Amino acid sequence: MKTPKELLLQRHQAIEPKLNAVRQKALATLDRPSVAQSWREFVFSMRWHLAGVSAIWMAVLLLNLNSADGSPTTMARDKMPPAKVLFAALLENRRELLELTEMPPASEPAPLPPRRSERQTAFEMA
Amino acid sequence: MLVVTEHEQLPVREARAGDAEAWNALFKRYQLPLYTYVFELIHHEQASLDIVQESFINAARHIGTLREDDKFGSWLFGIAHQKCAQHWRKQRPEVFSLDEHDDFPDTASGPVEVLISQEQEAEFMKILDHLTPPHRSVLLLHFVEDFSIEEIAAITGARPGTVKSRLHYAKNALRQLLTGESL
Repeated sequence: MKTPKELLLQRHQAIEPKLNAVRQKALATLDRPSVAQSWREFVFSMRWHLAGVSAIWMAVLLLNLNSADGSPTTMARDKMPPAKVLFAALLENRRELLELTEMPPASEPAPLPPRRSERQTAFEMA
Repeated sequence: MLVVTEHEQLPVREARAGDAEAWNALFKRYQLPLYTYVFELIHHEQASLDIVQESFINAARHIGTLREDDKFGSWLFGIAHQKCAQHWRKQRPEVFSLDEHDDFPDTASGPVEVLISQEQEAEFMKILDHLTPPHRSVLLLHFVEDFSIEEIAAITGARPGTVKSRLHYAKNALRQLLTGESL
């Protein structure tokens, strides 16, 4: 008489050599680091370089922010008059233009001097 | 060399520390029961060997996720069970699923000492093969490693009540065979 466990395990006893090979293959992968592990190790070995590069980028960013505050564009924008004043100036400018364009036309044009041939004839007659 | 016997404490702590000898002892302890479980579920030698190997490799890579050292066995079988389910879905998605739920009543079954005579061996295996994969899975885990209801529930991802009813059903079928009752 056998227990179900004995019966089941005995049934597969012949596969043991193949299972030993499977075990050896699995054990061989223990020495080989996984992709994630290799990646972690790579990043860890580069930690000082990465820290340096990050610090430089932070400094660049801060400098950029500081200089952006005193740039000509920012200053010009700060000194810009309010929109109401600008609108009033624009209206004034338009009014002046209209005044110029609506000037009355000039009176009779000045008489042209006589032609040279006509002047010569008058001299001869005299 | 470390050798693990039934009542010896498993060298899981040493394995966590990356001790290759400890892993060797653990793999050696579980290789045949794990293969038996996988083979009796999927009935394919090469696929079963592949699943055992992948389970060992996964266990070694993810040992950090194991909370209790004394649950190593059920944890390892859980990994293999997932791989069997994946294999099953790939091979015969329309027939059965290892995660199949059933509506058997939640009836507890007491421990049944099953002893099989030589004449009954073939019948026992036939009964086992005729069970649906979820029932076979529960019965195999119970017989091969004597896992508790809670451990089997953790391995298969089923509720403890479902595991109990599956075990009850499977054991009844076996009992009827062994006592000569008609099914």
